[in-house]
Amino acid sequence: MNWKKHWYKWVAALFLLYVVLGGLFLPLKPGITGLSPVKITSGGSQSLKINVYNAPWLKENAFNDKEIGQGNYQIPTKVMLVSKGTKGRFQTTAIKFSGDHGQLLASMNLNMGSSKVSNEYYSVFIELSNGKYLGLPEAIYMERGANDTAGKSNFIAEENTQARDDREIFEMSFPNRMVLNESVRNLFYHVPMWFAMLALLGMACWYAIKYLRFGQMEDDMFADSLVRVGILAGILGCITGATWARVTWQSWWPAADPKLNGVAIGMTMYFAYLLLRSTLTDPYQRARITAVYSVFIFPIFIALILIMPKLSPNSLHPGSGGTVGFNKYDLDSTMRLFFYPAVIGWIALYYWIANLRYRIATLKEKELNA
Amino acid sequence: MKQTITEQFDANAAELLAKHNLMNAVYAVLAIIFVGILLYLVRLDRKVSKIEKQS
Repeated sequence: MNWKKHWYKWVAALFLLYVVLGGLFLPLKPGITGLSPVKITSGGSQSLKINVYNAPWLKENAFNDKEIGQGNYQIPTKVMLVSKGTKGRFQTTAIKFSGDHGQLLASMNLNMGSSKVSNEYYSVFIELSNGKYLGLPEAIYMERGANDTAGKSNFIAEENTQARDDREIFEMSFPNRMVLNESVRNLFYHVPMWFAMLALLGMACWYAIKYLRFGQMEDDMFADSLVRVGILAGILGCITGATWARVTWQSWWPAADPKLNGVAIGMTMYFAYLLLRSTLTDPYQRARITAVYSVFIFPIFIALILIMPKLSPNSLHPGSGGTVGFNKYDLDSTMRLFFYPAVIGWIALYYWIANLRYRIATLKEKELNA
Repeated sequence: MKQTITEQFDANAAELLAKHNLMNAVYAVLAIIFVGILLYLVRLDRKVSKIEKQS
């Protein structure tokens, strides 16, 4: 076995095995996925229903944890509604939860009374028996009830800095985000399609330049294979993206997103490349014209899918417009452990396929010339 | 007991969120990639067969 020649195939196989298995089986962190009601009027005793996904008090989490408060088995001790504007919080008087599902019923006295509390959004925090918190920022809107203007207040006018500063300790699990939920795992499958496409088209651009410089037909054929497999990655990126968008953004193709429009135009340019190549019959002319075309469209493609969305004010994609990208504050450390290998693995796999296609094309060329 | 529209909405939203954990989206995406790459490999396979027949 020639390791030097085959290393990227091993990279593709091992990295993708790791990414697919880890990406599918590693659990999501517990997180609040919903609460009811989301709008409340203050005054009197009220109850709040909170849905918690992968709740740490579920019985399956208690496996091997004999005592409450040990290992993964944590019970909720307190629910707080934390105000941002007026520093302070409301706290529960009683909590009901069951070990069979992740729903929690919190009763609290919500009297604003004579204290100066404004109508605003409150963040919800659940305190667990190990002192950690599950939180959902600005999740509930509370306004002062008509009869709740005087008297005793349940508002605790001090900031619980512990809840606010509950920095995440590294755990081998994926973050749980509203809207995304389990589909956060698609980061390892949908996003690397585009990384692979960009890598392959970039390499194709490089080989096209090489062809124009040295005039070797092998370079032209390799560039062509890279473009074709790059387009395959792009098409798969589009379809997987549409599937993901359907469940999270509620639309197959949110047309207002500049990234999607940019990709649509960019892909069309590469389809035009295929058309152009198929119409030219003379191999040398075909190689030269498509090489020039490919060198020209690659920077435009980059501009369309990376630079334009960044300048636009309204993109849903991370890393463009007002939305955040993959810098150290956005991408969770567990996600990184799988995302980077995923990118490398998928690029290696597509490169492998492009290499196969190139070898088949060379064989065909030899047959024609023989 | 009569529910107001907002209460009904809240209840539905909570139920929806509890039911749809979106794991299916992950399976769908993986299946699409798998099928896509497989179809491309089938096409390559046919090309090889053609060359084999010619020689």
